[in-house]
Amino acid sequence: MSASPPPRRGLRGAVLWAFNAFQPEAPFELVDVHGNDRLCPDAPAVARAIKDGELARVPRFKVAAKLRPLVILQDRPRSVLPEYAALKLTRFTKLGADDQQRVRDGLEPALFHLPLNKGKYGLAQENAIDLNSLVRIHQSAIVTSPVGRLDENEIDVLGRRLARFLDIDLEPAIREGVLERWEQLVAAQQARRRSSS
Amino acid sequence: MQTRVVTANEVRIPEPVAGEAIVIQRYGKAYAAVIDAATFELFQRLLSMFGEHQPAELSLSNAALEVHRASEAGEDIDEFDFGLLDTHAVA
Repeated sequence: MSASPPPRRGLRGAVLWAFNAFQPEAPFELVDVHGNDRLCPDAPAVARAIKDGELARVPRFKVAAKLRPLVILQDRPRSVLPEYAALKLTRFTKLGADDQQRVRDGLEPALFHLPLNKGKYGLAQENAIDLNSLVRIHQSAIVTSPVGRLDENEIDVLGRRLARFLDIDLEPAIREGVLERWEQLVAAQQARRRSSS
Repeated sequence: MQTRVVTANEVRIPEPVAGEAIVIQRYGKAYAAVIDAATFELFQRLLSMFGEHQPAELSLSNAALEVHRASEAGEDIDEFDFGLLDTHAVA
C-alpha cells in the first residue's frame, strides 16, 4: 500500500521573490495613442488627454518594477484567483543604531522583524515586513517558489497587526462575541438551576 | 493622538516618575504635562479602548516612516540572488 503524498503547501506565509510595479505617481509618464512618450502633471490632466483622444481609454502608464522579496498572505487552493495579497520585505539599515534595535526588540509595531535565519526565511540578511506596504501580486509575476516561510504564530500576529494598520476595527466583533458567549453561559447556568430545583 | 518622538538630548525635562504627572504651567495655566513611559502606554491603551477609533497612521513612528519611504522608493532591499533561478524558479 503506497502512502498518500503529503498535502501541497500553499503560499500563505511564504517568503518568495516577485516583480512588484511601483505605483504611478505624478508627474505621470505615459505612452500616447501614437506610441510616443507623454508627461502629464497630474491625474486630471491624464483624464483630459483621454477625453481629447490623445491617450487611450485605458491609458498606458510607464512604471518601473522591482524584483523584491515579499511575504504572501493568502492561499489560493482553487487557483481561480490569480492575485495574491502580499507585504513587502525591507531592510532597515538606514535607521540609527537605537531605532534598529527597537525594530529587533519588536517595539516598532509597523515593522515585523525577521531575524537572520536563512533556513527559515531564506534571506541572506535580517529584514522587516512593512505593515503599511500591502500589495497585490499576480501569480505570473512571481519569480521563485518559496525560499522561506513564516510559522503559524508569526502569520497570526502579522494578520492582527495588518488589521490594525488597515484601520479595520476588530473590537466590536470581539465584544459581540464575548457578549454572546456570556449570554450563553448565563442561560445554561439558569437552565441548570431550574432543572435542579 | 499623534506621537512625535524627540530624543532626550534635545529637551530638558524633570525626571519623570511612575504614577506622577508633571504639569508645566505658563501664566498660571497648565501648558504641558510630562508623564513616564509606562503611564503613557496605559493612556494610549485607554484611548484605544474608550476613545474613538484612531487611524493607524497617527501612531506611526519616524523610524517606521523612514523605513517605509526607503522601501517604497526601492531602496534598502535585499539584492536578488540570481542563483535562485537554478534552484527555485517557478515552473
